[in-house]
Amino acid sequence: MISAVIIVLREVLEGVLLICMLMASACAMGHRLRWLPPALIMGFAGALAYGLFLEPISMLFDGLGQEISSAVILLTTALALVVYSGMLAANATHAGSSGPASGVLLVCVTATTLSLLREGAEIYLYVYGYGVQAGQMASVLAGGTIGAGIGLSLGTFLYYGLRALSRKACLWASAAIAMMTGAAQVMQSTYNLEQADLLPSMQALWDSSVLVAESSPAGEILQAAIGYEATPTAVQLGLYAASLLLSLMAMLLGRLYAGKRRERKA
Amino acid sequence: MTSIRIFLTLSVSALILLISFLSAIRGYRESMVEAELLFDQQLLEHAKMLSLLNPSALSGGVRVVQDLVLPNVVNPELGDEMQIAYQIFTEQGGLILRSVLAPVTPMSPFEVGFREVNFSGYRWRVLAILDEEQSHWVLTAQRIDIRYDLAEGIILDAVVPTIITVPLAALLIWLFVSFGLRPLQTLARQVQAREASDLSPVRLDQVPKELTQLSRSINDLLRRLQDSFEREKRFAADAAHELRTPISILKVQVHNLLQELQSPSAQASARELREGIDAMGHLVEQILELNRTAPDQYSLRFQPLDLHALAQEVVSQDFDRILQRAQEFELEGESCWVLGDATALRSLLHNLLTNASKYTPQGGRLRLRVAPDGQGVRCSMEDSGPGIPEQYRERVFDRFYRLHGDQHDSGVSGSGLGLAIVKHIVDMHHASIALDRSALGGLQVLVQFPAAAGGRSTGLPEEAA
Repeated sequence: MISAVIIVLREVLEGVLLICMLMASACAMGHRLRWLPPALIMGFAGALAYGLFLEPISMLFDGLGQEISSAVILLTTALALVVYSGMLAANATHAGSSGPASGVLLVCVTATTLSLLREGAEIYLYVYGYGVQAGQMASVLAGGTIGAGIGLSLGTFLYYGLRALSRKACLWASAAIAMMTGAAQVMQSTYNLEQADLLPSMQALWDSSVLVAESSPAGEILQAAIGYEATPTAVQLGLYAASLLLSLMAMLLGRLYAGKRRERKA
Repeated sequence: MTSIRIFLTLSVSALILLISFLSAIRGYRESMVEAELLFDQQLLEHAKMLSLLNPSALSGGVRVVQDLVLPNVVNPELGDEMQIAYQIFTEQGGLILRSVLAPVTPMSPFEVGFREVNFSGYRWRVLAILDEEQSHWVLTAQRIDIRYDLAEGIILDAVVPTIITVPLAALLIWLFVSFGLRPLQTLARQVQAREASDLSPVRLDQVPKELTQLSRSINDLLRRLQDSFEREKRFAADAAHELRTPISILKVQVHNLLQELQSPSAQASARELREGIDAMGHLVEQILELNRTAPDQYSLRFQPLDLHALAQEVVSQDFDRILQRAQEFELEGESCWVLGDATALRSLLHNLLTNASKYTPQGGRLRLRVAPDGQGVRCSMEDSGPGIPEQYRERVFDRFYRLHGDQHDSGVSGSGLGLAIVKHIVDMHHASIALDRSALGGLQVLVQFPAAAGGRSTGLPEEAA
């Protein structure tokens, strides 16, 4: 049961952190949450379809379909988050500078749908594979419910915590979360790309398992939130740093654009 | 935060869920450790029981006997599998006795204590004890996967109710929060349902402590508004008195002046002066009327009224003006009842009538018709004047708006307030007003009143009956 708690908690936490951040920041930018129900429906439907058709998907690209599709989903989400962090920085600098509302909503819908699709599919596969096939349904369901419940509770606190902040503080905090979760997505995509031999497998630069093991609850949560990796390779670290740098640049550009806009108005 | 109810329900439910689920995980872990200890205790008890046998009496080669089966009342399906394999060796390591599941080799090294080892395709928990009196080793073993499944099965039965009760708790929280917020909703409803003129204090039964300050503030605000409106009303009355008196004196003085002036040109100037004073008097009266009929100023005294009879009364008062202008007048219709304020409706009819007369040329035609129409009452004032072009019809209800600078045959300047007053009164009675072209060639003003209480517009209404 504990393993089910940890696995489901990690997946739920990854999705919930992202979606609650999007919800709180979209509200702070003055948008309503009308984008949420369609994104949730598309995400859940996509997760179910991905789980059900995993076998044919895996057969694509010479048997590398699953790895490549996962990497594409992760990298697209990461890209959406980089753009979003720029929008948040612009809006935090000068209200209404985050570009057209349709752009913000498109990014929110894309990130939510893709995040739900991936995390949902992983939970579905775990529950189906370990619960149904290994005959551990009761403990998987109990553990999964506990994990999902804890993840949703933390998401609720994050959402109301962000909403309790001032508009500016909420947007900057959301931009920081977008930057970190985006980098976490990039880090995860590197595993898939390594498995597909699209990235070289290299020697790990260090091993911090002694401090925080990846399989420990703290390690799982850190992995979900900031893409923690106990034994990173140079390529993984480089891509992680590049993702952070890209988000910082997007935020800087957003800030500059909003500053100019404010000057023009003044 | 858009909804207090959703915020409280979600945050409290999330807190309860987090605490109860973390407690469930902690309970699960501790129970699993306890269950492990219990199974270890069973292995020890069985080993001790086996050591009570007299192995030295078991001569004649290795004996193979049935495994021990633990009775499993919790999960009977696991009962058959929950067997204890065992071996008895001499102190020198010679096998004396083993159960069916136990291998021929020692299940663990001959060292006292618990160990986890693999054999027969499974992982086992093995206990080895040495009976020093009888000089033999007793080894007992259980399959770890079965121990785990059994323990988890028992513990899950305790954890699952916690999981199930959380949604129930969330539902109860929602209901309690809704109940707790009821005074707030009642307060909001009371404030929303008020008429614009109702400024009496908001009254709530058993005001919760958190709302006391808010309801006090609202009542304080209402009291200040009431005072302000009272001051406005007093101002209107005072202004009426202060303005009417000098105008009346001016009129008398002009009258005397006209009597005293001999020169025809001086008399003409004095007549113009009199007309100017009359116009000013009219304007003052209209401004006061407009102020009195404003919805937030007017204290309504609604009662069932025969609108046709009211029209007759107003016509008789204003008939001199119509005669002076040699206009042909018709009053049509029949007795019909509306729920309204007599003073306001008199003012409405008076304004419609004087407006029509004023803007209709000498010798023109006027027609007032008051009659039941469907469920309500229809009042129509028609004239043979120049009418109002369609594009100006909305604007003529604005205060001080005068069509084409108010050039008309009467030569009397209007105040531009007549139709604004009419509109106020129409709104106050929840009626509707429309302007159209009249069959007489001029303007037709149509006022449609809703049905009086009881849905009747003819004969006596129920209240009056």
